[in-house]
Amino acid sequence: MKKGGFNRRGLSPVIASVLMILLVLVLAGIIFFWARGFIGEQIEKFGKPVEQACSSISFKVERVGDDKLEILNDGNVDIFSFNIKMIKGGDSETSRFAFPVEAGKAVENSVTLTMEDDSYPDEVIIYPALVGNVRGKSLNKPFTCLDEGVMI
Amino acid sequence: MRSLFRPGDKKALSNVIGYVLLIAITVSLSVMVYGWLRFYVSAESVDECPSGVNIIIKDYICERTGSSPGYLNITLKNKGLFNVDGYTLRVHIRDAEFGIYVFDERGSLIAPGGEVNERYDFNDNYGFSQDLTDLKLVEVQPFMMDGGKISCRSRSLEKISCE
Repeated sequence: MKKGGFNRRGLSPVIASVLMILLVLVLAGIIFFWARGFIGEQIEKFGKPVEQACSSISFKVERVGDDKLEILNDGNVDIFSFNIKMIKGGDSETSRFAFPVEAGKAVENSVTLTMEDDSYPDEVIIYPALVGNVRGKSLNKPFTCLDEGVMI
Repeated sequence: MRSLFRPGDKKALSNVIGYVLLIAITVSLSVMVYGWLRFYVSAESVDECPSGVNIIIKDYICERTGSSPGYLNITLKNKGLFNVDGYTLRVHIRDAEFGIYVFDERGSLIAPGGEVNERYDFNDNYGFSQDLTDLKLVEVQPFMMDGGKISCRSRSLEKISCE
């Protein structure tokens, strides 16, 4: 009577170990590239997340009359542009102050500070926007620093 | 009777696949988390001035005399704890909260306790189209040089009048 256990054929342990390691690495790579698609694009500035640069922004805003803004960038980060949010009641509108202000410089320019129906807003908040690189791509993208808004 | 337990018939392949998948998921997740965290956790922050930097406007003379456009003569004093490598001097022609017209963006080095006196003639107009002779505000913001220009948050403002 044959004893089946001693005549069974199989891979040697060395080859099996190598194959298992290779399989693990390949599967790890597949899962990694699949899951990477779920992570949103990261924007960086000065090699760091753009949010860190946002916290270093310092600027002053003064409203002159009804349609002019004076902005001083007294920080060390160049500001690409500004987004202006006008709030009235439960409604809000956004416009852009598309004038860059380099660090240490100031700018004054006209801007529309009325709602679309020509009424005046109850609140006006101005947010700075920076331009950063999309990580892993040679692409610049603006990023609005929503934590650095100033009410005017 | 057939033995219910036959060790030779047990199939172990599913366990191997399970281990392989577990290790693969663990390795890939750890690589992803490392790559993501490495970007967010950074030892260096954006350069800032040390606290204890303080420049004041000690004195000024602003004159608009007769036919000549006039001048602004300003004396600055370093009342802080550190050398200041320079300063940005801004002015305004109305009663504002900050200056927007830059007269000087280099300044000069001022040691702690030291003073510096500078004169800015109005005939230059410093590249601005506005008439900058009737100044109402002067502002000074110090900066330090550390690989690049680092402006300090401390500023000194003075409301002035030009006679």
